[in-house]
Amino acid sequence: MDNVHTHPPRGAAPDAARQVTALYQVHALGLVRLAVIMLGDQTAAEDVVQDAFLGLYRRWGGLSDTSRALAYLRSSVLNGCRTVLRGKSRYHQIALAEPAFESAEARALAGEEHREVVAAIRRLPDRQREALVLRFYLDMDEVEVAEAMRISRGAVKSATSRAIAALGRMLREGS
Amino acid sequence: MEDRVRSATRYVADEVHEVRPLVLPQVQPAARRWHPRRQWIVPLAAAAAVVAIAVAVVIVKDVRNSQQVPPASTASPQIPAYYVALNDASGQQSPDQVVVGDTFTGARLAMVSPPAHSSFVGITGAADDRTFVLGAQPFPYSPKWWPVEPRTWYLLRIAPGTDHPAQLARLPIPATPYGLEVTGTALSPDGSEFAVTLEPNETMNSGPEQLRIYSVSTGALLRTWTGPPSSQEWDGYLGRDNNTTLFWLADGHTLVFDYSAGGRVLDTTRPGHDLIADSRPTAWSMPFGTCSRPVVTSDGKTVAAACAAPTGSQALGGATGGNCSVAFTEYSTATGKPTRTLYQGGSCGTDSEILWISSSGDTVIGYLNRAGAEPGQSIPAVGVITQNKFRPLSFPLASGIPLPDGVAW
Repeated sequence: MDNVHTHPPRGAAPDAARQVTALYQVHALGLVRLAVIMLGDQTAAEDVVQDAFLGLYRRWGGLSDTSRALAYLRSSVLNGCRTVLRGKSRYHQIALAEPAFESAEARALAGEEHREVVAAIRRLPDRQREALVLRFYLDMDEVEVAEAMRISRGAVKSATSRAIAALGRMLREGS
Repeated sequence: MEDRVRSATRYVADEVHEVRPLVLPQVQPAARRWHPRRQWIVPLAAAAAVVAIAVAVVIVKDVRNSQQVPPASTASPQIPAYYVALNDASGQQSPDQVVVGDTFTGARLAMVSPPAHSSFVGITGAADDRTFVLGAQPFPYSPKWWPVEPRTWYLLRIAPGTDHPAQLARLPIPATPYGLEVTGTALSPDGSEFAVTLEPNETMNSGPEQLRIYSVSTGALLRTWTGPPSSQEWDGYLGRDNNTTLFWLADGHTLVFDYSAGGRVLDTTRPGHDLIADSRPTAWSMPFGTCSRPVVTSDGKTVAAACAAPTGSQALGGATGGNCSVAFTEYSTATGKPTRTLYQGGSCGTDSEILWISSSGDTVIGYLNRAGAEPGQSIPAVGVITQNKFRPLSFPLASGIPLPDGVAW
């Protein structure tokens, strides 16, 4: 798993394009992976991440603290995934219940349990899904999840515990 | 289960090995904003305050009608004609405004910007669909911990069809202290009292949970109830100042609040200050995890939620495996038992919500995903649900309004 908690590289070029591109080189893969977990579609995930970096580039001059760029990007990716999942814009044909593995080869290679778990995660409500993925995929602590999602620590607990309960139920019913 | 989530998500993530290059447009990014040096602020602020106080206590903003949108003509007498919603700014780079919209036509009556250096973060409405209270917090958001920033409160009155469709005024209600999170807000049906639930931030050890009622006109703190220590989970705050955890019933003196895995009823006319001992539980039996946040009717008899339900079955709630749709289901607060399904349809793969419910529960404004013409296509929609029919509304979903807590009718 990529470490997406790092700060932008020190000594990056002063102009926005170079700095944003440098950030992209460091963080794009990790953010696309995050979006793929949420969406189950790499093309849509890459679109979301590209949009997030484009937004960062356009706002670069207005950032008072560029060390917050990764937090901005992560929030933008979560927002973008929500937008995709709500079916608006150009991504509306994603099959939400389908797991990420589209090809027969990939299906054959993928563990059935992993596929079921991730498919179930994608059925969760937005906040539960995000809390779960940030908490257990990115290994963020509750405070970090709360900050990323702009919710309280108590809400992170609530969303996570509900997500775990719902997931258990879904997986039991699906088995 | 946590380990299963870890291994499954990492398994899927590891399938991605490369991403396409970043393509940036050939445009100049926005110019750096002017950040006044701190020593300039004091004299400028002092001078400005003399003028600002005189204006701000009465009216902070008086939004003129840009299009002279007439009063809603297609309104149903039972359904509120107007809503106010947070216009969620993406990326936290600009403050959230609120939009005033016509429920039925989707026309935008006004866009209200927050006062300088603040962002709107919450909204709740009275029963007249003309009176709203907005919560605001300092902006830009603190990089440290935004939910515990002080909230200031504003009254938004809307007057559709006039030259001034929206008027915003600072309320005399004191700002919340730093360190308390706002977990619920509700404006009384007549707009005279404002209820707010506050939770201490767990990392700041600032005291027990509280429910407070303020006078809207004077800002006076009228009542306070104190809950259990903060170690107990308060099932409330989910991002913005939540308007789906606290319900003021039509009698004007009873509050129902979301607590743990159920609801509690508080008669605000009775003595006492203990949030739990002085309230009584109400029966909520919908399956959490497969239902949206519950909504209580203003008669207090019904709690409703959008629950996953098996396709082709009339079973109420509970199912998420296999094919399923969404059942907008009502439960009796007296017995906890399901009483009826208002509507079943759409897709249960994503969030569905009840955004507003009539006093009797006969009609709701709901959010759901409907199947599109193509396989796998789902189309999000907000619509009126009544008599097992879903009538879409022209609600501006694409503008980023956060649901369910970013809108009030």
